[in-house]
Amino acid sequence: MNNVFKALSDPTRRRVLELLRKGPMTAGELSEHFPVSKPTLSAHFAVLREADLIAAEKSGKTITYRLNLSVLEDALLGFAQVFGIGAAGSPKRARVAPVLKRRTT
Amino acid sequence: MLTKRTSYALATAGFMLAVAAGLKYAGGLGVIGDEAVRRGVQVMIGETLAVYGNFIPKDIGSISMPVSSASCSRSPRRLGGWLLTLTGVGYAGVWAFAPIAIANVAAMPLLAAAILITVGYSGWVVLNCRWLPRNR
Repeated sequence: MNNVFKALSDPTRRRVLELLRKGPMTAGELSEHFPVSKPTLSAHFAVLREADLIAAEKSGKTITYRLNLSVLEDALLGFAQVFGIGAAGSPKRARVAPVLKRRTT
Repeated sequence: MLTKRTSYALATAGFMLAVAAGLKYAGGLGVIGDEAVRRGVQVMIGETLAVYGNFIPKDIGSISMPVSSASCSRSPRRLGGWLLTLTGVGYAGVWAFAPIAIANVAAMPLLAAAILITVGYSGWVVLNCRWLPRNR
C-alpha cells in the first residue's frame, strides 16, 4: 500500500492515470502530454508499475500502458486529485483551493 | 499448481467457513444470541462481496487482459467493481445496523439490483464490441 500512496502523491503520475482512463496508450502518446524528458517519464511509469497501478504490454519496440486500478485505488486517485495532494500548482488544486478557502473563512 | 486467484479464493472461502462456524459455536454456547449469529454471518458476506468487488477491475496474477480487448472489458469491470463494492458495504451496513425485519427485506434486493445492472451492462458492452467494425 505504501507504493500506491507514493505513486499517487505525484501530480504527473496522477495525470498519467487520468489519461489512461480514456484507454490504453503507448509511451510515446503519453509523453506528448508532458513537458518532461522521456527518461523522467519512464521513471514515473516504473513507479506506477511497481505500485501495480498500470500494466504494460510490449509489442516490438512499442510499450502500451493501460490502467490497472482496484476500486479502492480508483477512489484514492479521485481523492488525491480533488485535494491536490502533492506538488502545489496542479491545475485541479488551482481550481479547488479558492473554493476551500472561501468555505473556511 | 494453484494460481494466485485460486489461492485467494480458497483462503477467502476457508475464512468465511471458519467465521461462520465460530459464530455458530459461540451461539450454541450462549455467548451471543441467534440474532447476533445471523447478523455476523450476513455482515461477513457483505464485506466479502465488497472485497471481491474491489478487485474486479484489477488484474491479479497471471490472468490479465490483453490490450486489444481492454477497451471492451474496462468499463464493465469498473462499473461492476464499484457497484459490487458499494453494494457489499451497504449490505453489511444494513445487516449490522438496521432492524432485522428491515434487513431481511432490504438487503437481498440491493444485492440483486447490483448484480442485474452489472450483468446487463456487461452484456450490452459485449454485444456492442462483437458488432463493432474490427478496425475500431
